[in-house]
Amino acid sequence: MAAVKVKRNELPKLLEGAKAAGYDVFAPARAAEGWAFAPYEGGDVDLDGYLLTTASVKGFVLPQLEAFLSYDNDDGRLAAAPEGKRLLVGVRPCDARALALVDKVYLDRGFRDPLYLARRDNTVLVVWACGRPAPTCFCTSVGGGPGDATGADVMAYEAGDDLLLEASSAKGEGFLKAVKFGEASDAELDEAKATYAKVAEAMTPLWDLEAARPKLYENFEAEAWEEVASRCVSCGACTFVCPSCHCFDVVDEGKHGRGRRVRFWDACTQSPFTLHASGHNPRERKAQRYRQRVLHKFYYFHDNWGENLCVGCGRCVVACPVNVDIREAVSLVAGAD
Amino acid sequence: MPVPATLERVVVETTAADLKSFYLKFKDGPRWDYLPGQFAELSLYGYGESPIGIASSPTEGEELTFTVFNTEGKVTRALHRLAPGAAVGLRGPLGNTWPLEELRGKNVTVIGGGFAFTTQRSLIKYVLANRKDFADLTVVYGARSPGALLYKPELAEWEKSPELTLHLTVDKGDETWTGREGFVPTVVEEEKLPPDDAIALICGPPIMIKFTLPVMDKLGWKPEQIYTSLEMRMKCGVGMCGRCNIGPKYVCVDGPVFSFAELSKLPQEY
Repeated sequence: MAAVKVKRNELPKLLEGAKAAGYDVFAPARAAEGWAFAPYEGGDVDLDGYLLTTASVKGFVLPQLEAFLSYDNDDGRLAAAPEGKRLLVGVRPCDARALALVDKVYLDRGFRDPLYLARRDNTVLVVWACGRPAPTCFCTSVGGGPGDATGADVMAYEAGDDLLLEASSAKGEGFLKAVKFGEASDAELDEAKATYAKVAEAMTPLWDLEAARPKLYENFEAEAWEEVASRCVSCGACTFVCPSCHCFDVVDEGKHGRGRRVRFWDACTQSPFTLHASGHNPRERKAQRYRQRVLHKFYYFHDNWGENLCVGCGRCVVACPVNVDIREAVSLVAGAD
Repeated sequence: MPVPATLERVVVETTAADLKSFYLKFKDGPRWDYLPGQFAELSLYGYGESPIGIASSPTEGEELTFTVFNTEGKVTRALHRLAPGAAVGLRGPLGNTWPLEELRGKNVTVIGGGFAFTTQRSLIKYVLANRKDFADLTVVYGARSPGALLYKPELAEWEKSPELTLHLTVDKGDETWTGREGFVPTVVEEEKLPPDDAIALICGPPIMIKFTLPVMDKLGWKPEQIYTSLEMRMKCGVGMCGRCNIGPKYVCVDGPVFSFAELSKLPQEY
């Protein structure tokens, strides 16, 4: 289908239409700390100064904590799959790409997670191509880009006063078909995409991962890991803000035989993550744990799925209280002798 | 979602009572199809889940057996307090199996130490039930003391059986012990366990494995002939929660059984 052309100031009309069609609509809004996806309550969507939300969109499909089972003594019941369509506008390409990566683990590994699947199916991601990457952005160094459509349902390209919307999934197509706006010509779309390709070109590649990847693994025992993790305080902030970190812990919460089994985000950078019941811990030291995080992103996941598990959003760089920088870590370890 | 099962009976395996075997029967529906080497998550509502190797063999009937060490964690402590009739949830069967296709027609050598012997017991029962599919069955099994040996009535049977050769050993005997004293690696060396046309399955404390492997190397065993089963902290058991990996391999879905040839390609982080 052809791309849709919407005037930038017609965006509220589009979103009101989506609400009328039954979507819960979320858009980036200024929050106490940076930006956050908030329920759209009408009016202009002011994205002036917006680049990334502080927390990624991960929480929309993989809540920070969710009860997947409730129990009453010996009777357990699985949580019902969540219902309700959601439309997220202003998602960045890195976040959408991250969800496409998490999909592999939650849907393609063998076990299809029903709660995750329902949320993924119910959520339409309208992805805003990036015109002005931040100094901490490095998507082009890990396989993504400011106009990358991986994981997006609809791609939105800004072109002057216009917004060009192109479907990039069946879900996105379904949404756009119901939208009554003008069509964008192929030429307009190509021109818009070309401007984002220029944005991508202007981003300096950090490293050549094809060369760095095997070095990271070869240098498994390198002293450099100790150096990169020396400041790490094992707080886990990097994993929580990361859109592609997807590990979780499970705990039973309840009293007197009744309660719920919850899963919640966990962090490989924290020591209890791998602590055995015997007291043995294969990743006892923070350097081992930070190495796990970096190698999972750039080597292990790539070994299993052919993609990097890092999307280059730079949130971990921003969130780290002690300035551990994954970009430097890769350079340093890959460059170690 | 854990499948409801009923605890049929409990056998206290060791004199210290720190290991018990739990015989479970599915409440509704038939028993799982499973194979030796696999594990399951044992679920107790209000406590959580623990990944435990299946000690029974699919050739043994309707019950599933789990021999569980009480680590004094939430789940194992609660399990150890259960009486017959209690409800236990089961999620599985999970993980890969002992290399049954590889083993077919070959000499099967089982080397076990301590309470890691459980899924090896499953394999031994499986081989005995399908005896003609395998050549010689040799079992070396050691424990710290006679009281720490698992499955004592069965061991007594196996000692007399012409179907297998059993070398039992304890680190230190007591007044009732008339058998062998010595560590597993020593027994493997003394018995000169032959690598010819054989596959070995070795499970036990890291120190036992560490000292047995060089002995086997000297006897001519190759890393691809030796398999082990690994333990790791796990939550989901299906490759999602992210904590049981060794390099790119997840112990819950790619393991728990690995050959030493496979392990040699992975980081030594387990």
